[in-house]
Amino acid sequence: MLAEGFDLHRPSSVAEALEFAGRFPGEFRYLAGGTDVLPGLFHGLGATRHLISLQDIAELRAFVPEEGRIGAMVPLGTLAESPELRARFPAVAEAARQAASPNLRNSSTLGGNLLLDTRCTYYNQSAFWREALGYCLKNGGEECRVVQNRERCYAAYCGDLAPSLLVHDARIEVAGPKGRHLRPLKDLYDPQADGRTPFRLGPGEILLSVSLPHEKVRSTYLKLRARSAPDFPEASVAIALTLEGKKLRELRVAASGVATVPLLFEDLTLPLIGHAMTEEVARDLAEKVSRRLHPVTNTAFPPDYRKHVFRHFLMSGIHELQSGTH
Amino acid sequence: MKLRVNSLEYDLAVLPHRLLVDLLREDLGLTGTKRGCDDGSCGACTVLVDGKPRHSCLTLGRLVEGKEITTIEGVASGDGLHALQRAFVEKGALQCGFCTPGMVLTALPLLERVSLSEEEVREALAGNFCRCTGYTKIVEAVLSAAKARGRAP
Amino acid sequence: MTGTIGGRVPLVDGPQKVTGRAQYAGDLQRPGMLHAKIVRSTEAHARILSIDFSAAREVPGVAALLSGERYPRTFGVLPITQDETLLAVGKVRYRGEGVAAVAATTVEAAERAARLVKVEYEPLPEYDDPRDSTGGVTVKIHDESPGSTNLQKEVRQEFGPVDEAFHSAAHTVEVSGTFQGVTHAALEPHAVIAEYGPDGRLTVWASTQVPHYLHRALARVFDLPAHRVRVIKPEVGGGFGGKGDPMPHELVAAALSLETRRPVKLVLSREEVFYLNHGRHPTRNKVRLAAGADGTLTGLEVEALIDGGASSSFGTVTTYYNGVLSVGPYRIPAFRYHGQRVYTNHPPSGAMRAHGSVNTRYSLEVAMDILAERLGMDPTELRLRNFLPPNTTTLNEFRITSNSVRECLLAARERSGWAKKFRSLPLGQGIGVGCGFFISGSNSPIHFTPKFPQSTVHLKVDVDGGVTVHSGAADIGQGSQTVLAQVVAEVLGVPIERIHVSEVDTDTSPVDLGSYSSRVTFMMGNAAERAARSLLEQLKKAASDLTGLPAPSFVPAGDALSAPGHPEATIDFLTAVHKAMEHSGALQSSGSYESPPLGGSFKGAKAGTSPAYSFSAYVAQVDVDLDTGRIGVGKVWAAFDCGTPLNPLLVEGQIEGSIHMGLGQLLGEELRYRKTRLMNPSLLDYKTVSATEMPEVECLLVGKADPEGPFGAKEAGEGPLPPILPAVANAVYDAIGIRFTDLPLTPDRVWRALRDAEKAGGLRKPRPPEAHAR
Repeated sequence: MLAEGFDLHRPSSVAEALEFAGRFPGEFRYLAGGTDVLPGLFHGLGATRHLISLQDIAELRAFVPEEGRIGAMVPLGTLAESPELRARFPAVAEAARQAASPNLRNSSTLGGNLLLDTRCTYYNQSAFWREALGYCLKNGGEECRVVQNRERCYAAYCGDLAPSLLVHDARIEVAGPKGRHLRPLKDLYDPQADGRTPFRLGPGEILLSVSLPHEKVRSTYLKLRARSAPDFPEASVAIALTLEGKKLRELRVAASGVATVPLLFEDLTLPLIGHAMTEEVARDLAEKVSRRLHPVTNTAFPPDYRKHVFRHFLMSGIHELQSGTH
Repeated sequence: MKLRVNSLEYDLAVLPHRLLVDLLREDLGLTGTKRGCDDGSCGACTVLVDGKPRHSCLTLGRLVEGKEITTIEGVASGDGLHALQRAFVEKGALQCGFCTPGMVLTALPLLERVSLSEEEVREALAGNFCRCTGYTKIVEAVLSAAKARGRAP
Repeated sequence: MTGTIGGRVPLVDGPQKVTGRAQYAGDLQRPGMLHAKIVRSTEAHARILSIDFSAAREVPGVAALLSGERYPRTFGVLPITQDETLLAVGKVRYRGEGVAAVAATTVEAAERAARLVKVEYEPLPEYDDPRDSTGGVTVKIHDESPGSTNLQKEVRQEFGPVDEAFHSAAHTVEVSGTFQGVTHAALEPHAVIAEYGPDGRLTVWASTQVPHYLHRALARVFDLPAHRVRVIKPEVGGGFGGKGDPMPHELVAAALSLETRRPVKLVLSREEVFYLNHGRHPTRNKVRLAAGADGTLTGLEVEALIDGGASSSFGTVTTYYNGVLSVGPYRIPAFRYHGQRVYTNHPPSGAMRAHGSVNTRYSLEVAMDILAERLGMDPTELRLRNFLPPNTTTLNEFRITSNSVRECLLAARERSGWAKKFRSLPLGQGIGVGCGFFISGSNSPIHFTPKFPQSTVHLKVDVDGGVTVHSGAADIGQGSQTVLAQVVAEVLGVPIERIHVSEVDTDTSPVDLGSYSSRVTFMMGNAAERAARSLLEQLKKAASDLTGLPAPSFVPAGDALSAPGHPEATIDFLTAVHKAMEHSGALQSSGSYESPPLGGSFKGAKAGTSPAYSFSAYVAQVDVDLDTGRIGVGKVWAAFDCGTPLNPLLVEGQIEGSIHMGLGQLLGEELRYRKTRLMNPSLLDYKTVSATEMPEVECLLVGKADPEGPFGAKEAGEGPLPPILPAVANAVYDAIGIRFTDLPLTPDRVWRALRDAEKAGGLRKPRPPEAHAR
């Protein structure tokens, strides 16, 4: 049951949406597919006076897979089922296929997944549950319940699509009160921020679309979860890799479910370009990457296991992409 | 606002917070659509929105204005059960029946596919929870209905 | 005979369910209906100092506010342990317990008012670990517990020379198991409508497995004569034991209706269903086996410490079952049991599918596997050596009649290709076996006064030839209505379409104790058969009156009564019906079932006695991912003896569903507590098995007719669950050589064990048996 007390707005253009946003400063939220926002609202999380639905804005639903352009309101199901997307950007299609559950993917959108609220076993609970314990940092309380401290929230970013789009070097288009601009997807996430506000979006800004570069890159996405559906990633890895002869022409690795933001490990993969990808190099990379992961005990599986499977996925993913058995 | 449900048009006043599931169950009396959880996990509330299975518990009523909704009450046409419904009954694919409406509506679009394997059926149903059948006979029923249409081995 | 018995007859209510027409309690509306919401305790163990309704009262639409003192009378499913109240009185015993309730004109208003009820608590010491509840308790959860404990029930039993058996044994094996709590997670959240009418009658529509016990609880708590209370059971969206007690919220709705004189509806949220729980008990157990050099079992010792949560529920029975349901399917010459069920400040535990038998069965079947290995024996051979025969009595005086456990194991072994696979599959792959047995209904009814049969069925034939069946047995999806229709159609020789099974309504349905302890097919089936035979006698008499042939010469078949050798004397069913009701205008009959006197005369001798037992032997094949620890169950060969399967379609459904639920407990389901706090009260975080993880199941129904079952049938609702857990765990051992005794076997736990094994000298398959190898 959803509590009364909000208005619902249905702009039919980006400009109109921005206008609504400008009218209700600090009192609105954008609504995409609703599969993240609404369960939150059921539990009294993220309550607001105005919901601005983006579903009627045709521009946001544009999907041109052959050009690598995906509107923010394209349902994940469309991405999962697109043969063109799978052919050109396999990790993206695969991440969409593994997200949530088949029917949820008909509602949930690319933009919603990229901006998925961070999750924690002490946060994603009912109002009753949270009241019984006393509120946590992310919920206006004074202390984190997972890692007892008063400064930092450890809620985990659990979107499926971000890592795949990051390794495909995606750019996003954002519209705000000051106009539109393009920027790298990785700049959407603020690794310095904690689990409360991990996104770099100005007030009123709308994520419009994602664009992927044309060059062909082989990629894959591997996800740890308890069940095939509808579970969020406990740890997931996306890898993009191209070889020139035996040498790496391109290598990017990104992670989800293991930190407050999706992580892209460019500084660790860049030095490997131009070198051969041997078993040892892969193992070394996996070690270095996994030292950057700081999962905490706030999901179904324990942190050390999530790190272990991440390492394993990274190595087997690299192996897969190299041997072409993907 | 106007709403089309099972090919009939309704004219309704819908509050902003009204969820499609409550609108169907309480305002229209279409109680075949069920509520099994509070977070979109179980799939019991699945209905078709413009032919695609969606969770009616995670859909605001106002946002389906002008769309075609199919609930379990609209699956059978004329005097008999839909072939998929018949397969569910005959193959023992339901016990308590509470997940059944959502299962049927999730499986219905699968019958339109060119071909259908057991693995595809299992994947398609993975977000619809059943606690009675262990899914075995549900998968069998969907495959047998697909087979009757020449869509499954 | 029409051939409906033994046929794959689809559910008679299938068309209603598959079209969305079936009405569950939450689907019902009553004129002028109010909606209720329960205010739940934020504390796990605390005195209630005050409840302030002042802000809640101001919410527009609020019609009534209620706290526990208004109706403080206790209730509970067992007459000997009535320790629940509809809302907490004086103190709360678990987080999520009802403290107050609101009735209002809309759900939204009720929820808003409930949030505004202010409760002041004085916290008391919390008990979350059962080991802290057996002594040294400073503030008891219930005053009834002896001394400084939170004991709810303690059972000690000993039969035969136990110490001598262990002293002189060639081999002894000990397994200590730890089991987390699991819950039913039926898809339908509990719902109820209560309506106290101007005629002074209270009518309650509830999603319940036990309409009769709910009827009794309502009469008791509100001090109403039972005939002023009416319970109606609409369709129920799954139970598995979770709707097997009269539940507090059902009484809350009734109380609010008494207060407001209006119908009151209460539907639990999924989170509230988790707090209501009554699921399988978190348990620590220890099983010791003694055996001779040839593998013959000589002794069994079982200990169990059971976390009952905050109330008794079926707990006294649970405590017995943890012990006594381990005396089969093997011959045990000496047996000792010590069981303790303690209260803790967790939500109440109760009865869940295969009640009380799953956890002990797991440790016992793993112990059998270890014993076989010690002996160098194939574990199927060890089991075959020790099986109870048919028509025997166990050491604790259970009467065993039909028993095809041997045939079960042989069938599962053969179909699975066991001989080629056991200890021979590559590292990571394995095959394992587990057996079990279960009661077909408890022989002793819960209530002894007044004395009446465990099940009664009334038949009423209409002038149109339709046969209406009235029974109090609760169809919760298992198909009891279908079985009723089959039995009646079979006896009368009419097509099943003639039979109409009425929903349970205590105004018209005779008493049946309800859907628990796997009693329905056996007891209701027998009652239905007797009612139909009595009706048939009346029809034969009518045929005799019409033809002049003696009544016994008629046999029912093909919607008619015919006399062999007299083709001209065939009387069609409707004609016979009309003749039979010629003078009375009515044609009715009744049949009932009372189980025979069974069991010994020692204390607790009745626990576990049943007129018949089902038997099972499962083989499972698994694939363990050595990198991630994930256990994939590939296939299960499930051989089951339910006597004559009345309806194989439904029996298979019970087996497949049981395997789903058992695998859940083994592989991932657990109520995760941090101290007294439940961390995963949602279907997202409580990990039931999804369609993609469910293995292929081959059902092998190899039972023979039971002499006392209806058409030879025994239970199939619960017995199919226990063997899957040890079968898979033993297969995991075959795959990777690691024994797991702490459930669930989540991938992280398996990975940890794999890593430890590698550190300790490498991972390898267990060695094949040397002796007796096949």
